[in-house]
Amino acid sequence: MENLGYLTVLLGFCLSVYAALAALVGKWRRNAFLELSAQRAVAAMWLMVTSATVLLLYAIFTDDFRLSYVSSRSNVDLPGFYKFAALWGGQEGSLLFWSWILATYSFIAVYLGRRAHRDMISYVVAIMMSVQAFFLMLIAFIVSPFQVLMSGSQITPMADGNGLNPLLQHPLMAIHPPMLYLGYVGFAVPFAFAMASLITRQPGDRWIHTTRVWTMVTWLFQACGILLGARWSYDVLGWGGYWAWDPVENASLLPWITATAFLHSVMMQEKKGMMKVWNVVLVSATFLLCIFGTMLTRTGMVSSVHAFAQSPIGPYFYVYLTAMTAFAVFLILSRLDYLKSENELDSVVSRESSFLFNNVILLASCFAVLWGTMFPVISEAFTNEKISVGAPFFNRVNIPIALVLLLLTGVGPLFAWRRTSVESLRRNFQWPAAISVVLGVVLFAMGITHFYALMCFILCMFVGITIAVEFYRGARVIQQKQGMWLGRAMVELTHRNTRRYGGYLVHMAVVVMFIGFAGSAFNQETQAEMNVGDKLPLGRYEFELKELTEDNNTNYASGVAVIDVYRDGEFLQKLEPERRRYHASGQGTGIPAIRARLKEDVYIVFAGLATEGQRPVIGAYIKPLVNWIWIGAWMLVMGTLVALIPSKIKRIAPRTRVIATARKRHEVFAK
Amino acid sequence: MKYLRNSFLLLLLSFVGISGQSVSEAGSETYLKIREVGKQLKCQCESQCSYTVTECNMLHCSFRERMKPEIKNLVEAGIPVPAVVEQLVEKYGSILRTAPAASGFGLFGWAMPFVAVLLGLGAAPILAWRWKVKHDRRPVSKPVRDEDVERFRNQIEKDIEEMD
Repeated sequence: MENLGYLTVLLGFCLSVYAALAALVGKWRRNAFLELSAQRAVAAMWLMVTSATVLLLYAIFTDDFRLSYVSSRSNVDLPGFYKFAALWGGQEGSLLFWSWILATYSFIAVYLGRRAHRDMISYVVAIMMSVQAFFLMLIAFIVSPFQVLMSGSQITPMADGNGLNPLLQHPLMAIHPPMLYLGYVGFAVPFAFAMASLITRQPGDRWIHTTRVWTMVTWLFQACGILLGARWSYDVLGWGGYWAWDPVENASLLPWITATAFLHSVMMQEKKGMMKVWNVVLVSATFLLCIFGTMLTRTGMVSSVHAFAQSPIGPYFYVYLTAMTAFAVFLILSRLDYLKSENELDSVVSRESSFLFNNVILLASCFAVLWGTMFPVISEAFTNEKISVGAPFFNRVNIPIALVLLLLTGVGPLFAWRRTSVESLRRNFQWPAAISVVLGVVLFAMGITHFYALMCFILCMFVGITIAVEFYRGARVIQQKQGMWLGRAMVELTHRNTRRYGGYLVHMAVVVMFIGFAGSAFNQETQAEMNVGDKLPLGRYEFELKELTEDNNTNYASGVAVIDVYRDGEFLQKLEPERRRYHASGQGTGIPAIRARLKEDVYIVFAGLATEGQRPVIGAYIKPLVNWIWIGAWMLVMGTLVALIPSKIKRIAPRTRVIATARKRHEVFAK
Repeated sequence: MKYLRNSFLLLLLSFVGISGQSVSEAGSETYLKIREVGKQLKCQCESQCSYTVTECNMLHCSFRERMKPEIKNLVEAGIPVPAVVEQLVEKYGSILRTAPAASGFGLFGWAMPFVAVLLGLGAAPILAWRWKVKHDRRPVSKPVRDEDVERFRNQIEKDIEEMD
């Protein structure tokens, strides 16, 4: 079986190299058969990588502990659901999973684009297969998941495996990594299209439309991955937070930020033919940051709780990242004439300017996160002193940037394309601004004096009103013209321009999430050793330890603290935080108990037993508004899906085609 | 019976090694100070977590176990929180800080993101203004002459006739 695994990976590698070369040579020699052969090699490569993935899954499910990977990531009693998670629970398996997703993306991208992008699809194949060849090279020759456990020349299987990391044995962990990988890997597709368009000097807007759609899909996956990771951290890790600014967490955020910037600035290219260089830079940066993030997670470059163990793949990543960066930079510089802007700004006060500012702030935020993540490495290189950069740095730097970004989210849609008059600004701004200021005064009078939280609430109100007004105005016109009721008119409005109104829904989701983030300024927490019958006060709440129970199954032994929750002396609910110890790995983990409400969460952790007296240590947290983050996450998914639905009304023909047709007509008439 | 079961469970848990940190009574001034100090020190536990000493929830975290009594002793000796943090950083090194120091190379670390924001915010209006100037300098297109309009109209009619 392991031989078959090795063989399929090796064949996949050979096919990806062949596909890349055949696509390039076919294009160069104008040999259509060779180009077609390259496209078919992509399908064959997908088949090989899929077979390798299925073989590894088969080995995991059949407890084939002859394989080093299976014995270190699974065990006999691991529930079937988590055996799937074992596929990406370790370095080797996750690399194979990475490759499988890339193979699938490549297959779909080539299949869908082979007619629409006939003249550039060979370059897309070449670029995607070069990425695939790199990853399959690592799997085939450096870190194979099909490595068997050997003692001398004998295969020595283990009786049982070490099991999966307990922290990964959670339903969210079965969804979070695939989502994140779908995001990370997916950004290779827009990169391939952008590079291919530069090589072939694509006329028209079709390629930018394809790139935008792919970016939006992968952006959504990346967002889901990040948010699921945050939820997992909150539900499992037991420290009461959802984002620790860990280097690996930051690595997932970086390409998402640049992709967000691209999704905004690409509108400038589509509508005005501007910011072309900038857009190609953003698409390239997003892909390169994905490779950088993968490198950060897998090479031990920075220390992180999420990182895989150190491995010999670091130098390969450095070389590959450098080569890809050089390739992208060279291509962009050599095509600057092709990327010339077709238009300029009519006015500084316009929607175009707001996009420019939005991009600057997003990039500044990306730089701040990247800088903080890498600063320990930079500092050690210059001063030879090891330092840490944690949440206090990132919060202090990023909160003001995020608030400016939030402001722009509200301000941007109030500006008109081309030019905005002072009168229009006054008309659009006065009511949202006035209501927000009133809210600020009321909140301040109610005792909310935390500056950033107060600003955040004011801005959330401002942005929320501007978005609501945008919907209302549009829907009102439809309502009056077609006699619909307002709700139906809003649906109709959204359906007519899904991209615009889907985007507004995403903005609203961001507002809702920011309300949740602001709530963290009012967190309360306490911790104490408790005896059965003891009460622990926290704000208006009181927690009484009623009893300790135990359980033992084939996978883990656990202890549960049964706690009654009271608010203002009134019994609310029984909560049961748990601590587990997994038999196979000998590792332990805690499962917090959460009473989730819109206003606040009550979060109880069974932190362990005190070394003196062996009394249970109970941690209690009050987390105001945290649920708004998860509601916002759902809204973000819905908004993006709406934006992906084709609009009911095709408003305009692609801009460049219109210009090209007009020019052609003009030339004909001039003759 | 319940007491016996709870005692047995505690013994079982201690046997399997589920042991947490020793803490002072919740709400006491010493307890709050210990937590405050812990929040300003980066945990250096085996799992390479990203949390502070207070937040770290890893089992068998030897670093936390070592630091807690040390922090407690310093706090109980009446040393203020910032001084306790500085003493521990001096003893164990800058790696214990949760953020770069606001001096020397650390200051550079703090300044760079803000410099980037300011540069960006400075560059954006300049860029927008330059685009605008470029637009204003564009030669204004000549007004369309009546004879051209007539020629276009004739051409369109001819095209339509040909299509028919």
